[in-house]
Amino acid sequence: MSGPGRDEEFEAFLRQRSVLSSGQRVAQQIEPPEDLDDIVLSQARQAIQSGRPVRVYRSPRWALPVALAATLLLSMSIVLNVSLNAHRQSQVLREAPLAKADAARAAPPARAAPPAPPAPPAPALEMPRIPASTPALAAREASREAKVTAAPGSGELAAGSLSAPAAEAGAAAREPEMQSLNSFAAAAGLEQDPKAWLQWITALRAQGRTAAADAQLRRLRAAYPDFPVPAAAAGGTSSAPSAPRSQ
Amino acid sequence: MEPEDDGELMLRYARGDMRAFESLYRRHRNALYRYLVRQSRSTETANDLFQEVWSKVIASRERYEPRAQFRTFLYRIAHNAFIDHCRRASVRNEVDGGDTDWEAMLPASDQDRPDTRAEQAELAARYRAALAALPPEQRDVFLLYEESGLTLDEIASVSAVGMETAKSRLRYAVAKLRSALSGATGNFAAGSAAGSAAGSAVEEPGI
Repeated sequence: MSGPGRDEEFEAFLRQRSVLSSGQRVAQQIEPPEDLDDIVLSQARQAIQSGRPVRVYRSPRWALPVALAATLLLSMSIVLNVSLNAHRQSQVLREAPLAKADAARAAPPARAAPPAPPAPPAPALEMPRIPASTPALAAREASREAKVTAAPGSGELAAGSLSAPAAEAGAAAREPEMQSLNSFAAAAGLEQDPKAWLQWITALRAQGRTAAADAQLRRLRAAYPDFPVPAAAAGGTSSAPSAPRSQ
Repeated sequence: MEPEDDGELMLRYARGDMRAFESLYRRHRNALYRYLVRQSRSTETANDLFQEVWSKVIASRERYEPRAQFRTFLYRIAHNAFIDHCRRASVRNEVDGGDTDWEAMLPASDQDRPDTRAEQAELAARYRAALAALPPEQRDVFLLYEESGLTLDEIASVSAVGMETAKSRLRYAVAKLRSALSGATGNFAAGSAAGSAAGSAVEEPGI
């Protein structure tokens, strides 16, 4: 497919863009039918008529205030929910030691059965720990106790310094707690081990539960009058272990 | 007055100027229609494709950017529309064997004498047969060159082939057509005498 004749022929075609003469080309003119023209032109016309700039969506006037109100409502409900949850948690934590004490109270009959119970393990394991986990609660309780404590440094209840109704009310308010602590001491076998009992009393005092510690100390002294009480357990009134009392 | 650029007309139409589209349409309607009729060899198919092509042009007016010639843009759409048509209806066989007598549908010129008309009819028949006998790729390149007025570079772009491939296809197509027409009337375009010996044994390798 090469050769000067072919190349000339091809070049001629490239110039004329036809293998036919101009006369033959005219004879072969083809045109689209008129109705096709009408279809295309009307389609083009419709496209620009319907294709006018589309109206940009505008939000109604009330959309902004409503959106703001909805946002405020949502954020307020979230804050309320979070604070309620926090309150519930603190309530649960506050009720926890009472529940433990109740459980301990239920235990004594079973423990009472054995004639000679062995020495209890370290009482700290079974002690109510709520004050340590909630220092705020301990502080609140301490302040409440301080109000009813007569001599701040004595560690003993000074009922005489209070008015009688107030003292009675305070005692009545503490009565269930004292009972639960007594039950706990009995259930944990602390009453059989004065050393462990004293450790628990020291821990109570350290937690700021002065009244409870004093009450337990009184019980210990009643049960073991000759047992030496260190100053930490005695609430600072006796700096050294008290000398055994002579009966 | 210098005729307005196709791209500018299209941009004007995109801005809503219907007259710009009418000018553009008038400028390209005949050539595009011929291209489609000769490709499909069916006026009915060509009508559908013609409408489809212009619909796509209309639909793409917003996205149109005059980076290339409008003509290239138009014939790329037409080329793809025809290929899609072939794929859709598996009409490649139909196209090869359909061969509607589309020239017969053309109105005869009043000035034509009967003997001239007979010659032209014979020529048209031979031309049509030779065109139909071309491999589709060669026919496509040939018709694009003959009808669209695109350059070989642009045809290569429309057909998604290299320029040399497009040129080679065109060269083979022209040789085969000249060979087929050489014995018809002898009344061919310049160079037909030189091409009279164009071999029917010419085959394009690899096409």
